[in-house]
Parts: sequence; structure tokens; C-alpha cells
Amino acid sequence: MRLRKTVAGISALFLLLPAGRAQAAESADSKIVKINVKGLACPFCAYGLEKRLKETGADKVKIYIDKGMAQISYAEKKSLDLEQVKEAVKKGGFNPGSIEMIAKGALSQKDRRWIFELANSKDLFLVKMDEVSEKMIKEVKAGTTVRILAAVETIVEQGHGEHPASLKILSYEKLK
Amino acid sequence: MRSSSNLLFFTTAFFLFSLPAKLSANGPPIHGDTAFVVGIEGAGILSFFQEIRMNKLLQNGEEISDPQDREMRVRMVPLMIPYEAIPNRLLVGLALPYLDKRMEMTVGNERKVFTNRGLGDTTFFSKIQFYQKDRPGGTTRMTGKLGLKVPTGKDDARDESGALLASSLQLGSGSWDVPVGVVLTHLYQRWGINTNLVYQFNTKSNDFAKGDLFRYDLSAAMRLLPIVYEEYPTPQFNLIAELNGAISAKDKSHAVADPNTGGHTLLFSPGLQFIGGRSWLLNASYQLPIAQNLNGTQLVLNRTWTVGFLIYLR
Repeated sequence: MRLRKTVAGISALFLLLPAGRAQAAESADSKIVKINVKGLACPFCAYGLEKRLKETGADKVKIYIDKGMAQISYAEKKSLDLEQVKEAVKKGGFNPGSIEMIAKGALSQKDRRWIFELANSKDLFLVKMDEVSEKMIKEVKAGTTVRILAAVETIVEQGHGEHPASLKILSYEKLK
Repeated sequence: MRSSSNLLFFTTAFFLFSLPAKLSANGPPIHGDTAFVVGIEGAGILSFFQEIRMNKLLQNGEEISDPQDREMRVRMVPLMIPYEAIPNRLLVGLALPYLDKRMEMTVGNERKVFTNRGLGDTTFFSKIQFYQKDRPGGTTRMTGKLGLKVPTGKDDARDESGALLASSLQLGSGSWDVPVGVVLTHLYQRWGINTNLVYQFNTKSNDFAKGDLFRYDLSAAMRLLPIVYEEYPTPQFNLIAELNGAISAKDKSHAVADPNTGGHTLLFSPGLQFIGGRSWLLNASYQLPIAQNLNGTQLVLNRTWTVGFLIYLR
């Protein structure tokens, strides 16, 4: 009986401890970067990663241990430096993997290439041309605000060199 | 000494090269060490309370009755302060123990108690990570360790009659000692393994030299709860099982080896760990001797238990 009470007590404590659970929802205007973190296998070592990612000017950092992923939210006006994010992961003791981004912005065309410009921060990303991006270009007029989910990739273009922060559009939503 | 060197070599080789590939460590070990130089390991203040009790007398491995009926108790509260000097590369720090030692024994027809308490020797330590291989959900890391134990603890305490207390009751060794070691950590999802190998070169002080010490720790850890760890930080329970071994050479007094010192001790240490948030964890462990092959006649360990915490204060 005493053992049962002890087990019940420990379980209740475990369930009730709110550490880190109460996270406010991201603002609809914020930019979200999701980065896969290789080697992330222990919560006691995630402390340094969280600290380093916060130092990149993040509003909020969420770390998902079993997924091996960190989600960083930035204010819309904050300029996005993905190299700084990767460096923060390294300084936090891990290796950066693939990056995805959820952000608001608009398409524009420069030198026959499509560019996605993030709202307010004026950060520019080259859009990788594929089925999804071609569909988006047809449906969304240049200058119209859209929210995108995109994978950050490196594109090598003949005559233009390497673009380390290009976007492969995965999905998009037209905003009013 | 030769057989001790052979044993040392084989133990080192065994732990370095025969680690099961799919095991890893999920929380830091309680008695051993982790190869991580980041996270709480690189920023927290670590302390614990440990009590050791010894009242069994062994002579060449056989238990004998002690005419003096000695009982020794040591309580220890070390404070360890690490500092991450180079991110994910170099950790430096110091460890300072508070010790409370008590020996009860029969002298003549009288029961006597000898006590000594205070700060022990300070150890300055450094850990440098020289290998890191990360993969989704797992990592393998190796770290080299180098330390310096400075004789800050008093080593000339005397009893009421003015006689010098035995070296086992002194707070410090009086010597400058150098521990050198290597730590391997392998983590994979809920599982973890840590191996800690340390050789401590002990120097002479007042014509007395404690025998060199080789320590080996192997710890396996499993995250009991939560089964699926979603967002960090979530309260977490880890089950930890450790093997903590120590092989020491004989002490030497005026260059003569003491036959009743040195030998091999191996402890089995099951423990529980609770990580309550991003900045603290609690440990509890009980240690049972499973092998005590000691030279000559020596008082040996009955049991020891530890409760500890690690907290981030900066």
C-alpha cells in the first residue's frame, strides 16, 4: 500500500512539473527556423544549445530531443542569419543538419531569377525552381504577401556561383 | 607491480575497444564521468553527499576478526565548478571537497574515537574533447583529462594526545598529484554508456608516497521516463548502473612499500537520476563491493551511498 502511494506520488510529481511546457504560441508575424541537430541525444547537454541559439537574437527556442530538432522563432523585423544559427549549433556542441523555414514575404523577379524577400527584414533568398515554386509563381503575383514553408538548400548556378541560402518551396499560403 | 601493470593494461584495452556499439549514456554518470564538455556539464555547479563505511577486515582476501574492532566512516561533500573555456572543446575547473572522517577503535581496553573534518585537497582539472561523431539521435565523443591535485588540505592533524593521525584520517595527502585520463561517451536515443579511465600519479610528501591509482568506471544509463522525449525540458527519470573500479599500488614510506596497502576494489553502483528542468538534476546511488582483492591486511568497504545534485547558477 505504501509502495503504491509512493509510486502514485512520484508519478503525480512527474506529470505536474510544468518545466518548459508553458510556451506561448508564436506570433503569426514571426519567422520560424527549424534546424536538424545531429548528435542531440541527451537533455542534460541541450542546455548549451538552447543558450547559444538564444544568443542569435531569437524570441523563442524550442528543442525536441527525440526528433533531434531545434525550432527558433525570430521577430519579423529581425534579419535572419542562417550561418549564425549553424554556428550556434556548433558552439552548443552539435552538428547542424538540414534547415526548414516558415516565413512571410513576397516574390520578386530579378535578372530572370525569382527571389523571395522576407517581410520587414528585407532578407533575400533565391527560389529554387521546381513544380511547387512554378505553381506558386503562377498563382501568386509578384509583391503579394505569402507565407511559405521552405527547405533551405544550396544551389549552384552556372555563371552565378553557389547560393548557400536558397529556398525550395514546400508549401505556401496566400495572405490577405 | 608487474602483474598490476598487466591488469591495468588489459582493463584499459577492454573498456576502450569492446564497448557495445549500440549503447550510450542518457544522463551524466553518478560516479564516473562524461565526455561532454557542453551543456550543464560545462556550466553547472556540481555537488553531492557521499558516505562511506568500512568495518570489515580482510587478510589476503579472507575476512578475519579485528582485535581493534575498527569502524571508519567518511562523509564527503565536494564542490565542483567547471568553466567552458573553448566552446565544445575545452573545459577547465576546480573541485574542492569538504571531508568529515571518523574512526572508532579499541585501544587497550578503551574504545577511542578519532575525528577530523575540514576542506581537503583542491583539484584543478581540464577536459579537452578530441573526438566527436554525431548522427541523428546519437553521438560518440572522447575527451582527454588532465588535472593537478594541490595539497590544500591539512595533512598533519593530531589526536588529543598529540600523536599524528593515520594518513587515512588526514584531510589532505600533502602531495602534488597528477590525474590523467580519457572518457568515452556513446549516446543513442534512450540509451547511454560512459567509460572513464584515470591514472593518478602520486608524488611524495614527508617521505611518504601514496601508491599510484588507476580508476576505471563504466556506466550504462537508460531513460525510464518519458519514453518519448518531446520538448526540452521535460522532467526525466534515468536508471543508471555503474561499475567503479580502482587499482592502487602500495604506499611507500621512506622508500619502503607498505605490504598492507594497495590492491583492487570493484563496486557495483545502481542509481536513479531525476532531471527536473533545464538547470538542475538529482542523483542517488548505493554502492556494493563485488570484488576487493587487497594486499595484506586492510580495512575494507562495507557500503557507500551517495545523493547528489547538479545545478546551474550562472
